[in-house]
Amino acid sequence: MDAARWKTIKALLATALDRPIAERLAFVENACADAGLRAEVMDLLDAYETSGALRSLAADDREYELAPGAEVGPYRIRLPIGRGGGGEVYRARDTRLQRDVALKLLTQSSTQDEGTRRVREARAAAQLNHRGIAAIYDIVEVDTRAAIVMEYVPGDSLADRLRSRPPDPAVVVGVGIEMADAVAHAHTAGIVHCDLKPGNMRFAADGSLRILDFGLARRPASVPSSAKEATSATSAVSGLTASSLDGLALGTPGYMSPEQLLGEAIDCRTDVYSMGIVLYEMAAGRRPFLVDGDNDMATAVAVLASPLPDLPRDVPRKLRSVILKCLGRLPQHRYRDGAELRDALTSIAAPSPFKRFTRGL
Amino acid sequence: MDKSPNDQDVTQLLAQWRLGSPEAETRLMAVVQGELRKLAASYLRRERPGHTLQPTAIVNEAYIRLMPQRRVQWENRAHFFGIAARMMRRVLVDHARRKAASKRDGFDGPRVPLSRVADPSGGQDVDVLALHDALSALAALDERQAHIVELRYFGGLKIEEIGVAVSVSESTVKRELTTATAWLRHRLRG
Repeated sequence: MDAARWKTIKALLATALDRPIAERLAFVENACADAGLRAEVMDLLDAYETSGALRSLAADDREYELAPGAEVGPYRIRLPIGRGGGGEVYRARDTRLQRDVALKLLTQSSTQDEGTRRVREARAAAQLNHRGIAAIYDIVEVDTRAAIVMEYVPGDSLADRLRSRPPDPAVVVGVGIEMADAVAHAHTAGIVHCDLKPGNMRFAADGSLRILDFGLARRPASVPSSAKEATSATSAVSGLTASSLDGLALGTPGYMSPEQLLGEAIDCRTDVYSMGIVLYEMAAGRRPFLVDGDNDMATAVAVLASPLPDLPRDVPRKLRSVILKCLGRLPQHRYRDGAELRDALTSIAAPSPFKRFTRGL
Repeated sequence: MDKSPNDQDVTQLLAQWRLGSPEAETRLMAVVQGELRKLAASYLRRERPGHTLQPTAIVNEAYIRLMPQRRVQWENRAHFFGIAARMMRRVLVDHARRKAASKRDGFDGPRVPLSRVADPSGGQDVDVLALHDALSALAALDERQAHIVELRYFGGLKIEEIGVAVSVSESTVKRELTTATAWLRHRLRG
């Protein structure tokens, strides 16, 4: 390709990309008489539509609301670090304690009730005390809104690690046990995460897994199994469904359970499903329902309509059956909660050297 | 350049540079590059195990450090980020090349995928060296377009700011970025 050729191709490509996806091919067919040119434009279109790389390059600029240096109570904003799950997240400095925190500025709630509910839920999550759960430190008001201040966990997310090669099955089981154990703790307290995904899990400096964002956890409509004793306190919110909760993007389509996608009632088993996707992704190196181009609707359709793709042959049989059980389409086919999943994973974990030693093996 | 420059320095340097002083340009580059290197290194030291870097986050932090608490003229901001973009690219490429020599990659060990760069909007991350090569190849076809990508990717400039920096309309910037995305995706896919 030379500069003149690229100029021609670029003009065609730009016009094609301005059109809806469904019309692009027809446009290129019509616009390029020359077969060679057509093939080149088609190749570029295909790359554009099927690769997820460089997504931010041409994305619309959306300003973060808080500029670096802005002060929210005693917290000084350092940098925006992400968006999603109902708000913008910043890395901030706690000027009193001289430590870094993660500050999530919640999106404006549509009603006062909803705002109250979200703060109440963050307070509930703040009661959780488990080494696998990033701690909530504080809730502060910003004008009419709330910001949740959480433990800042530097280091890789599970999503970062999964970009390199898939881990060994033993690592999948080990990380899975840590994940399920943390979620089990929340389930016992009547708290469902509702947005479990590798991007919400980080490896702390000591290598242990930390689950983020329990501040946005929703109380389940009904809390089955081991969490029963804790439900009485939370039964006031029974009857909520994902779609009635609020207008937020609830969850992340690739990791959402069928009932979540359908806006039906959700409980601990929704988290079990999401953990099943995470385990699948760790074991197989890819998500089960992967759709080109981050299309949320297409992902939802795939989750609801297509059969579960098989795991690679080299995934051990026991691990495979645990993962598949998590991914039951109906909640009653899955483990009841995080604790049941943790126990299932523990039972297939290779005995630790310590256990082998104490058992005299 | 062993002393850390204050905001006065950088603002003055920017002003002189815009008036066409070559010494100011050299010094400015050195100051910005030094700051970026320091920041990138400290990110890696503090945030073990190594993680993917977000160049725009580093450039932002450099901006805050070099021009703290100061109402900087808007053009200055765009110019600063324009310079920082080129420097950031250089810092990341140098670092990735050094890493390539002592490569240890794995799930448990100290994985230093420093040659990978996170996408701010959560897309796949990208290998810096591959992107650097692809961008150089694009520059051979269309230098302005490659420059626009550099400003955007390594400097985090907004579309509006790029428009001012390169003297083209926002819709042109957008079009150049979209078609460059297609070209780079195709190239990176190999």
